[in-house]
Amino acid sequence: MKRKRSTGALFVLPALVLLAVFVFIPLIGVLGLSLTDFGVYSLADSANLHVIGAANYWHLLRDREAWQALETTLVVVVVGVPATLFLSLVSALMIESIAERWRGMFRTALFVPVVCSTVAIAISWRYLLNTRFGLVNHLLALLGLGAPDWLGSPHLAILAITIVVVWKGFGYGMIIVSAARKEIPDELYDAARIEGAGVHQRLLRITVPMLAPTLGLLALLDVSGYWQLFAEPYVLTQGGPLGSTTSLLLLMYERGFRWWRWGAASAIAVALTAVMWLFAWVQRHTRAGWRGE
Amino acid sequence: MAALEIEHVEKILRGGQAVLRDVSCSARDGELLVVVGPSGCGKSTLLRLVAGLESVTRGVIRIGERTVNELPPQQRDVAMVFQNHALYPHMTVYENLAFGLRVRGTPRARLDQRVRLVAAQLGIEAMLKRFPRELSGGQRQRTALGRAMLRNPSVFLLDEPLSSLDAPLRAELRRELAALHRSLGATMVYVTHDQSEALSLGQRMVVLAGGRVQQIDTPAHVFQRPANRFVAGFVGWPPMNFLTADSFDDVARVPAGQGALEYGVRPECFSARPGGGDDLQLTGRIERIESQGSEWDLELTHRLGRVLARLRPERTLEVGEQIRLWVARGHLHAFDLTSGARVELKP
Repeated sequence: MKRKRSTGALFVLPALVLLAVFVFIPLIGVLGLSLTDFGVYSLADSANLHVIGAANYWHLLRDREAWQALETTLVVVVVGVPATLFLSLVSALMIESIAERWRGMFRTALFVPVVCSTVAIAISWRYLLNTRFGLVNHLLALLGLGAPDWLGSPHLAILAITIVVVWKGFGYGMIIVSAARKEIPDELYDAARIEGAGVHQRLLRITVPMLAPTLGLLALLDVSGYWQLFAEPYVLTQGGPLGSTTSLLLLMYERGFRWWRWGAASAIAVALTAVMWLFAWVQRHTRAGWRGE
Repeated sequence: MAALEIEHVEKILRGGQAVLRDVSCSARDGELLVVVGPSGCGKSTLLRLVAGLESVTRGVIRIGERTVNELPPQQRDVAMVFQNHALYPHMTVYENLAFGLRVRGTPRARLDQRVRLVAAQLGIEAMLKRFPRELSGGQRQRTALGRAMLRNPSVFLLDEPLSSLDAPLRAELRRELAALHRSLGATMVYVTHDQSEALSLGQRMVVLAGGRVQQIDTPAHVFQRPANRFVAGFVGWPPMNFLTADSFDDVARVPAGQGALEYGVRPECFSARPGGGDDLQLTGRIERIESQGSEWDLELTHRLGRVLARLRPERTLEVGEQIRLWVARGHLHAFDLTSGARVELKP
């Protein structure tokens, strides 16, 4: 048995080493850094490095920029996640209803944004959303609507970011929902039809509840993904205007790599992780009822 | 309750493949009609046509006085029990039972009363709060039955409802189902591939093969006077022996002008002792002996081929031994060699 255990450990070792180098050690490092005022001055002279305890966290709590970044991030999560789930569900169900030979084409078209580079997508959208030359405003003009300054006004900018994020994200959910939908036995729909359930009742009483575990999983993935919003605002708006699109991750990046205040940036990273853990914990303990078979 | 009539129904798939050809049969008001046939014979399709899950290519389906061909499933007043139960996995037993009434907007008090009544009838009151995955096979089956009973439909359609259960439970539920049918007095169409189920359950049975009706009659008649060679071989276990034996023709008293025949003898119709002078004789070598408890299955090689006989022997038999068996003339079935149709022998 002892020999077996050591053989097992040997197999696990490579993964553990990778995890240690890229996850555990950085995690502990960040946790340590967040308790210091480590910054560009401490690089020059280690005498400038002080352990300041929880001071970075206290500052964060009174930091208006941090609160604004939290709000921005939450808006994207709270608006974006339900929108993504809704579009994933609707597109998955709609694709099923179109003729088989067109299905692949539509599925691919809706999935392409998922596999495209975020930066490339953000740049494309910057052109699409351009106030004077963008296709979006051109179409709005055809409809007789005004030409809003999408990325220039604080409220619209966060909306534009959310739209781009959702548009890029929902195709993934669509594929997952499609697969889960195929797992629902046809007999259930036959039974429901005989019992008198119409199209809408079959959708609301069978399809949606049967997909609930899948949608729950997607919600978790989307929340954790959107919580780490970074590339879209970084490329589209650089966090502006007036910091209205600065997400928490973007704020961390700016503190860390623009202002060289690694201690403060680490505190943001730790806070982000903590909230994410809290969310996962709540999610795990509130998933009541049916869990699939 | 209502009678069900199926007249000259055909079902041809889009690719041109005919699943059902000119099928006519009917279930009288309150009758339990069993449709039996090998897999792929179209029996499930027939049920789906009656339910309205698929549409007929030709023919008429009537429930009571109404022609239902064009009606959607929910307006046909039928209920169906599926092979794999088709219980909604995300709903409790209570919700599963209540589903049909709920989607039809039945008032809650009446719905609750119905659910509890039916659950009590089936002995699943204690299970109402459970999910289907927490039930045993029998309880699931009862829930599926209960769901069908809840709306008091005109016609019950049962698609191999017992085939997913193990043998003892199947027998138990079969008896329960027969009792349930008597107490409900409902019209039921019961589809199965199991001929023993059909024999024991049905008031009448429809034997279906290759999309065509082979015979419609009471189980006793189907067993005693199978309409053709297929039915003779399909109904009854172990299956009937078929022999092409000109030497039987004299004894069998074949009608004049009849072409070549094939004879059928059920394994249990052999006897180790001569009866009357009219008996047929058959001598063979014992190849295999299998005890069935009180009876023995003997596999013989006879000059006309292999024969299976089920006997209650009075002495010990050995493999390799020559044995002489007798068959009373009345137990002989005869079929036309080319058409397979039953040929009545002279008394």
